[in-house]
Amino acid sequence: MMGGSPVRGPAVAARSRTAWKSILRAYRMDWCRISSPGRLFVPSVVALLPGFVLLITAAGGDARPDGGGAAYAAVSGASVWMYMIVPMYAFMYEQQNGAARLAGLMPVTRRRQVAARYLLVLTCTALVIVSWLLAAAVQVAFGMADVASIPSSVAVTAGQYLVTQALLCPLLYRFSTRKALLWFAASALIGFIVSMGSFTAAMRTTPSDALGGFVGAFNDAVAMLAGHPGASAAAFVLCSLIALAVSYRLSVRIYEGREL
Amino acid sequence: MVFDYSYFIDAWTVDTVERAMAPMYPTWDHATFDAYLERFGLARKRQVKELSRGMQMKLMLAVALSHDAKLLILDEPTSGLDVLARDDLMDLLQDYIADGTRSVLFSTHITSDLERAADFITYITGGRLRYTGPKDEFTESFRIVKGGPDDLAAVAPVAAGVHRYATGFDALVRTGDAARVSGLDVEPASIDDIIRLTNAPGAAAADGERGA
Repeated sequence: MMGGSPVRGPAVAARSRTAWKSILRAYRMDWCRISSPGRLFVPSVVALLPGFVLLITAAGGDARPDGGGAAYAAVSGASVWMYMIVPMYAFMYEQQNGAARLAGLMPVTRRRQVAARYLLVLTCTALVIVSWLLAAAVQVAFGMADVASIPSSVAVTAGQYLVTQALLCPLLYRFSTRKALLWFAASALIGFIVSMGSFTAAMRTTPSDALGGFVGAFNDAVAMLAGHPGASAAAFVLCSLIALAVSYRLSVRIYEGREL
Repeated sequence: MVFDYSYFIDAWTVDTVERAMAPMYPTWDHATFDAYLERFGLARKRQVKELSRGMQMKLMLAVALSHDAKLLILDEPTSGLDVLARDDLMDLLQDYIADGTRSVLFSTHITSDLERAADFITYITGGRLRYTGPKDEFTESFRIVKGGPDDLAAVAPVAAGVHRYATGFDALVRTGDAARVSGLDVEPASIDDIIRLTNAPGAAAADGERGA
């Protein structure tokens, strides 16, 4: 075997172009699906967080005892929920009446339809970042936030969004929207109960010196992460992307085996 | 493909349908789509949910006919349509195949559509393929024999299917066997008659299978 980097043949390049064209066709169809409530739906979701932050700040929210934290948290939470719904609209409208047949009619393979759906998730992640940056800009303009903290907070938000979608998408491919959300909520609740229960049991059964060692190690880890916020955020985003890649493989498997 | 009910999202307008579907097909022709919208009376701003069932069918058809497809597949296209809409659709399909380079494959329970428009028929009943081939050969290969109750004994050995009435019977016989039944009324069989009588209770297994 000769040394040097392999050269992609023209046939491979042509197949890649064809694959991309297919994915973009399905992506455009998904964009039409999520725009079904109206063309301003997605722009209004993007404007929601910065709009409300501006409103709270302009209305003197920062003058509250908690610095308006509760109001900002509520708005941030609502905005995250809206962003979670945006890709779900693609699934919801696909499941409406006979619309699932459209997925079977499209001259796009199922694998590429799933790839397009995950491309939509990445697009929504980019919109989340835009939204958060706009909100942060408002807060910085009013002296409410430190510019240095923005990149890591935006990265963590994007990472959280990616992880949530990585968990949701396979459920949405497997079940109806309603059932998928029920499973998601149930899994989150069970996960919380199990982890809290395990933690409490560990606290009660572990000898105090071993427990002290564990708590110390935990504090050291947190301090290390806090001392390198940029690197920690980047690592979190990387892990989220890996989770999304695993989620994609699972979704392809589910969708390719499904009767439309 | 065209199904018996719409596969477009209810909230979409006709305009959105084109925006969603046109990128799927490199051969999409906007002018052709426009022409079909005008022919069918479909306004671009109307939502899919506001269209009647017949109009939704026409929208699916407009999409199917606007990307120069060589084969059109329709699943029960006329079921639920009124006579005028059905007539309109059949005229459209005949125009579509007029140049000889295109084909239409449709499934239907409405045999008058077959009588009017089909060149080839595939007849499936009870999960079995009973016949596939030219429509004219299908109808020409059978005759209807009508007679009174006393005449049934003469016809029964050669009948592919019999429908008895209080005053007599209708029997389906192969054209070659019709000559063996003398003195009774023998008429050409329509597709309806063939389907009705081959599914009558006690109908003989048809040997009409042949390659396409």
